[in-house]
Amino acid sequence: MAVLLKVDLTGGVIEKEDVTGWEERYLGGVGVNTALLSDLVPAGADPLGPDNVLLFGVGPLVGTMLPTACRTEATAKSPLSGRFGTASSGGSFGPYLRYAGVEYLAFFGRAPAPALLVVEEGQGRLLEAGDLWGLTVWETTDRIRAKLGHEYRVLAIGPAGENLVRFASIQNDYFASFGRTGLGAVMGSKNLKAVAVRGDGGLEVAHRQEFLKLRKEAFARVKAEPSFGFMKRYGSMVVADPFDATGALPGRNFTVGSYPDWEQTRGRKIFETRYKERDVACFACPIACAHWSRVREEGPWLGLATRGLEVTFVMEFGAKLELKSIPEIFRCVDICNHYGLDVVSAAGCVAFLTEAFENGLITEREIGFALAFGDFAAISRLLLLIANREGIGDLLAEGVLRASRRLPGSERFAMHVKGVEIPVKDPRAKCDTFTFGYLTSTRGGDSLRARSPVEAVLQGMVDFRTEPLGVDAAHIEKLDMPVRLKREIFGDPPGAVDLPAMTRYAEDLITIINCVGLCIRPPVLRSLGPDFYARVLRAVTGRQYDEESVLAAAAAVWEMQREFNRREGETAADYRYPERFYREGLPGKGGSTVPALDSGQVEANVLAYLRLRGRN
Amino acid sequence: MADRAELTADASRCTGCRLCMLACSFANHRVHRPGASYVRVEVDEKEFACRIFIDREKCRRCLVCVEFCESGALQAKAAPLAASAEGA
Ligand code: SF4
Ligand code: SF4
Ligand code: SF4
Repeated sequence: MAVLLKVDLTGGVIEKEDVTGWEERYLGGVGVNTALLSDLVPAGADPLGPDNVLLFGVGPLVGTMLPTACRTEATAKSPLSGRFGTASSGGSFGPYLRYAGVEYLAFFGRAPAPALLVVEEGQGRLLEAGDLWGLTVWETTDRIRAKLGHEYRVLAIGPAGENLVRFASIQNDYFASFGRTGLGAVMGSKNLKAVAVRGDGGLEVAHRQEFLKLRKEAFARVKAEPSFGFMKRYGSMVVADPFDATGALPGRNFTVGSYPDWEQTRGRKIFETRYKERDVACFACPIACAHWSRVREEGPWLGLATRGLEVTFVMEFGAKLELKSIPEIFRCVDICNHYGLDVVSAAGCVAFLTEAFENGLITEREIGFALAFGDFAAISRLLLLIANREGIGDLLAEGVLRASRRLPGSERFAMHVKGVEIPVKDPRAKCDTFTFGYLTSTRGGDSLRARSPVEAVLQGMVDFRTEPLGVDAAHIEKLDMPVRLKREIFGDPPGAVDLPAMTRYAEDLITIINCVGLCIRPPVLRSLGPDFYARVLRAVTGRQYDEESVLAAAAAVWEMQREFNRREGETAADYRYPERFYREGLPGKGGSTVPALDSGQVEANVLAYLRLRGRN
Repeated sequence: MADRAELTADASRCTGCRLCMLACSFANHRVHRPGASYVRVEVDEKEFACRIFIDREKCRRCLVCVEFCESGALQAKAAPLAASAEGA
């Protein structure tokens, strides 16, 4: 049985509901969240008002022994985009919620005073949390565990969520974030400071022998994937150097694609040799892509220990904001984690204001201090002002789209799609599934909902509609993907990758992963596909699926998200990059310049994509 | 069981994945329940430190946990010769 706890924060009433039927139909996790959100939130609802519903969903594989089966999906109407909002997090909250006998949480209304939900033994209870209000994520988590016990897993917001920063995050196990689309602000608007869970129950599987076979197969496939070793060694930092080599960095708010000193100052090798101390894993993950790092050099950050580096951190603070020192990057990320800010949007807002300042659209007097790319003191100060909504931080806490409307002439520096700040990689260097996905994602400008399972990071595009095939024909033959889709996407015999068709497939594949609760890192993304997920869902849940039915469920989930967005006013015209990408070339490696994107070509790809999805 | 290898733990290598606990509880109780595992890993996420406890009375030395311990924190140490001889 899949259990939903419906928590009415206004009235303090908690009800249990069986949502097995929804889970069967929409697989779980983000699928169930999407269906619930569409059903429960009225059109036009204020994302920061009591009519919005904050959902947490833990898919049916989470807590079982499958590689990376630990993810939790949080979903609500986004205060940043006003559209579908959602984010996934690792850590250990999800598995323990299931061990506590609960799969889904829905928060309605608004608590009259700061509240904490405690879940254990299949029940929830609300406690007053006035003493936690105003505290950082670290202080909050520590206090809750000191009071209730160390065995409680905690997810919490920091001051940024309380202050309704439109891109506030929710954190669990301190470091693991539900980063994008401002769900921390939704939690803050509901006066909900934290959720603590203690789980000591067990999860059985429907067909034990079959499950054991599939478990063996899953670990073998994930470990045999060539990206496994690299991921373990560098984590997501593995692509830090290739992005520089291909001139695809988001440097200086997307005006510089490569830096001559990149590898020496903030590349993956220096991270590995100078800072990385040991490997850290989410629950049930053999990859351990996270790392524990420590600053051992003399200076203000000597002794700083934290989780990282992730490629997002180095792209956002190292490239977009030009910090050259890894310890300074660590410190900026720590501020985001402690105060509960999404790293990508926070860095995007600071970069936006810095460029507006350099162009004379806002003065030192208005800000209170001067801004410059690479200036750690100014950057870290702005982050704190944003989290506390103090001074100029109050404007930036609105996100780049709203802030740019209040600073005439600055719209061209607001790097977002559908109101959501775009991350880590410049589409001019390569408009592939990764960056084209910024346009098509149902949660706005983001890279984590579309990534090709055969991505060739270092090779350029064949033409604007065609990606190179990063693997050989034998690999395609073995790839876990329906044959009809292989023909459609790669051709017969396989020769290249059709970008619009791959984008749709990659979105559906990642939707499946976010439904069942695994992680989308390459060793999983590239090795397991719809057929595997169908078989393992059958073994674990006893429900009937095949590869086509799980793909159809994922497509239906995506369509519900698009329908939600249409309801909130989205049109095909919203599938557009910031103007900079169509007007300016991008300086890349060794004095070369990549030309601006051809807007006709991008639109042709968007049209082809929308045609594949059906309806605009 | 004296001829079976002994389980050894080196917490400094542990990643905190807790796959050992899932493996043990599923092998011995047919259920995924970390609390029922004979090897217990406590993870301090904040300062990142792990502690590993083995319930040597209950542990059956089946070594399924070792099989899934990617970091090498759990290892099978061959039983001393005398012990093997005794068991044989
Ligand atoms: S690959 Fe990394 S992010 Fe994904 S579950 Fe493992 S440790 Fe967590
Ligand atoms: S399987 Fe190994 S690395 Fe993972 S928690 Fe257990 S001892 Fe630690
Ligand atoms: S060796 Fe002991 S601790 Fe490890 S799985 Fe077997 S019974 Fe459990």
